[in-house]
Amino acid sequence: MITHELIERIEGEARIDFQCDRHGGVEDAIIRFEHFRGMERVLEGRDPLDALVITPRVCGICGHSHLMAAVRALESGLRNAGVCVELSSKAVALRALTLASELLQNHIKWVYLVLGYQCAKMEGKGAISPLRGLEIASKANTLSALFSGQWPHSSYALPGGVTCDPTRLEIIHAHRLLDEIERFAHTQLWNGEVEHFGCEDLSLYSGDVGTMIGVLERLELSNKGIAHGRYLVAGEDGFSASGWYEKGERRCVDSALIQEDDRHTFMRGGKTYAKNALYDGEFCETGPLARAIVSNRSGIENLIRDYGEGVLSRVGARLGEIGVLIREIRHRLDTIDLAEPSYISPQRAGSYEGIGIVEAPRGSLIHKVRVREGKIERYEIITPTQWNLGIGSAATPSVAQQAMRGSQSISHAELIFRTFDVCSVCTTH
Amino acid sequence: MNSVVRIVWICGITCNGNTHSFLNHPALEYLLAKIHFIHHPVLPSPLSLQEVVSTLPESDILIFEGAYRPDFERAGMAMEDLFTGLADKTGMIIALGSCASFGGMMKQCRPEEISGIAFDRETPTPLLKRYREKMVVLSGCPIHPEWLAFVLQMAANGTPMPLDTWYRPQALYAYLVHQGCLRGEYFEWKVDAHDFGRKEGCLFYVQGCQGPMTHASCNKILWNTVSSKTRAGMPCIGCTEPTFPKERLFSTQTYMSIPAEMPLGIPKRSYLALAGAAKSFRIKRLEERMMDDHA
Amino acid sequence: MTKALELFSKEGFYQTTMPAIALKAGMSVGNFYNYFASKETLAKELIIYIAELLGGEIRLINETPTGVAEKIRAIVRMYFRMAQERPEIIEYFLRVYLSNREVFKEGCEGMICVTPFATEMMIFFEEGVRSKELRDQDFFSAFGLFMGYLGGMVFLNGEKILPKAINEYEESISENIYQALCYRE
Repeated sequence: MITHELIERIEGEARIDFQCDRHGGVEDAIIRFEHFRGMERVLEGRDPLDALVITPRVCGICGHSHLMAAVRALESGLRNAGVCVELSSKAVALRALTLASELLQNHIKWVYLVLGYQCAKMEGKGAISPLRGLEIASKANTLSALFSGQWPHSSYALPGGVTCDPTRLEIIHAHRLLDEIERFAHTQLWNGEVEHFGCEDLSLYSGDVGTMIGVLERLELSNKGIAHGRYLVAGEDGFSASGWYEKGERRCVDSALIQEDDRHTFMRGGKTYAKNALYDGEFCETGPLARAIVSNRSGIENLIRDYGEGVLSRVGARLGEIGVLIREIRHRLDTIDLAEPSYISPQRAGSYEGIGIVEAPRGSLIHKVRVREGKIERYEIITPTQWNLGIGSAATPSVAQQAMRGSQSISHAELIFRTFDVCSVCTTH
Repeated sequence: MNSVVRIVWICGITCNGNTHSFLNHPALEYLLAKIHFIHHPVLPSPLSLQEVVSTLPESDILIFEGAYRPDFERAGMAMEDLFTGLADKTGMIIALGSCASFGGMMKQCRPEEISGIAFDRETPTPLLKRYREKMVVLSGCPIHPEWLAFVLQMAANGTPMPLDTWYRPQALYAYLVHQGCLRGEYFEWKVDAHDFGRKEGCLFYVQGCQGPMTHASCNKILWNTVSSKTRAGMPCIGCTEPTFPKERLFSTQTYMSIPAEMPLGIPKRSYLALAGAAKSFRIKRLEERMMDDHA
Repeated sequence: MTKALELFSKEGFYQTTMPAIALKAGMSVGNFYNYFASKETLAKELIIYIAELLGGEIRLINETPTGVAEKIRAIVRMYFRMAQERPEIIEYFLRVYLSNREVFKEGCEGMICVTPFATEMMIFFEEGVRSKELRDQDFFSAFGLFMGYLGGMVFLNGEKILPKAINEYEESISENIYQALCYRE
């Protein structure tokens, strides 16, 4: 029997066609994104720098990651054209900390708006109020805005650096905000030190996370939702190593092996607007779990030992990343040298091709740009959710499709689907 | 209106940037005590989108975020039916963000089919004509959370809001981004920013800043309570205006070194006379760095 | 004003005295000082007067709905006519204002005292580029070419070096300026 479910509260909607057995168990789940905007085509014919304004507007929750991918794509293009693009370590640090702030607010919002809400719904109880979490998420955004001017939709990074020229005043303010976020993280979010989060048995944690994990355990979802066990971290960012991983084997990422597959899209007679993203022809999981595994973060081994590469490991990796991001931001604030230039103007180039890869909240985000005679000729965006939420076939299911197969019910499958932190607008830019 | 304002918040063609901008409001808890979301895209609310589509509930305020295309479907219902179904049963419609106001960024994707709910760029839409009495436009890409909070509180109090010609509350949009800009003195004395990445210099002459032509209180009501584009060294991109997004957003269009677009309402002759005079003085203080590198 | 201009442009700034100007203007020296506190003040008032006069002429040309080539011709014609009919004006500009910058350094910095003239030239250039008749370039590159050329011709004329009357050069000079500045694909 096929059941069509509308998945809401994900920056837009997705539809999943569940194929269920007589007992309601999920045999297969086809994911469809029915909205398409065509943001890439808007860029054609424009000045390359306009990409820094247009692409953040692909997504209201991870626009800053798009900005970073766009600026890296342009910088890589200029370098490919033989232009020397120099970045001061100050510019690198500022970009890293505003990017980390975006991931931080995303993960905190996910805990309260998605996980907390779904857990309560599945137990038929009232949800934990998301307000305190949202207040803290907004502090992470304020931290970013001290340097980027605003969140969402800043365009403060340009090839050659950043536009801002902060003083100690902004640095001290950022420290204060970070302290508040950290205090919240280890008093209310979970009851443990940030440094240790993810290292021990998750069931030891109380706090809001403990409550949510308790629900997942009672629903026997902890070790469900296992995908292919194949992971990709394509971005080079301070808080995570990059690499490809499967069954203990690690490889370096070769961006030439990244492909988009549109065979299942409406344009080709299929059922979705989302193109699949494949690495070396295969579906790979991307996002916090991939980052934890590829970086071999402390604690991830224990999580996987206890729960396999399923729901609690995926959730735990995202929660653990909150601690990683707080440490990353603190490190950048502690080591920044304000005397360095923020921006070093690079030479212009007429024609070039470049690629920019960023570890965004949901995983590897890729921008590819081709510029001819000073104008964008082609722009391609591959978003993290295209890696995780594609449409596969019976023989080769996509990541989330595989993870949902075998769920005891549609509601369990829906929760598994949401552990990938679904964002519809990104998927179908 | 009731003491608690009932709101339906629906999305057209959007990035959800206004949703997430609003979540930054520092007094969200206070606001949520005054307003009640019957449906919201991400906050917990009693009706799902599916239920909104099937019941088309009555509301005090309908917030529409994103651009509009009549046949664009949400939860299986064409936007035309969903929007008018909800708009007929509401007291106020807020076109939230530049996409809903004028078409904005999302209009760029399919310019001939997509518009805002209020305007199609600068042309009033049929929806505006039909719901003129109810319409409040909040342009911006995204909106500042305080702008929406202001309108919601004004509505909750039942206080009328004088609007400008684009149906935007004057209290928010009478200002130009230029007003309150920390670089204002550099504009006065025509000292341009030699490059990006410095706190000194005005971004209007070379870097494309549209602050002197853009209506928004970004430098009065600071972003995320602490900053703004120009304070972070980024040129204003004119995101609250019907013409957003223009082209070549990081460089000033000039004709023979003279900016193609004048500060709002300033005749070219007056501007040039003043600019020529101001440039004749070389003010040492404005040409130097403001503070030590480590400050 | 005219008398003062004549004296200044003939004798030079330092050779000209306030009593001499007063005499020529038919005023008592004391009364003359009531109008102009010093020779420097008078010199500045004069350059402002000239800039307003020339600016007003160019403004009329700017506001005439013709193409750039015609406007260039009109500016050249106006300038040469001025040089012939009121030579003291152009002479004062070239021989006093540009040659005695120390007199004007306070209160007439940069282009302040010639603002009305400079503004109209900016508008002329700006509109020419906007209508795609002139090539976009730095303002001063274009301004220097235009005004330097005209100033040079008036100087040659004043030194009686030109074999023909200056207005006979109007056509070729206008064409040269147009060719030098015009828009090319």
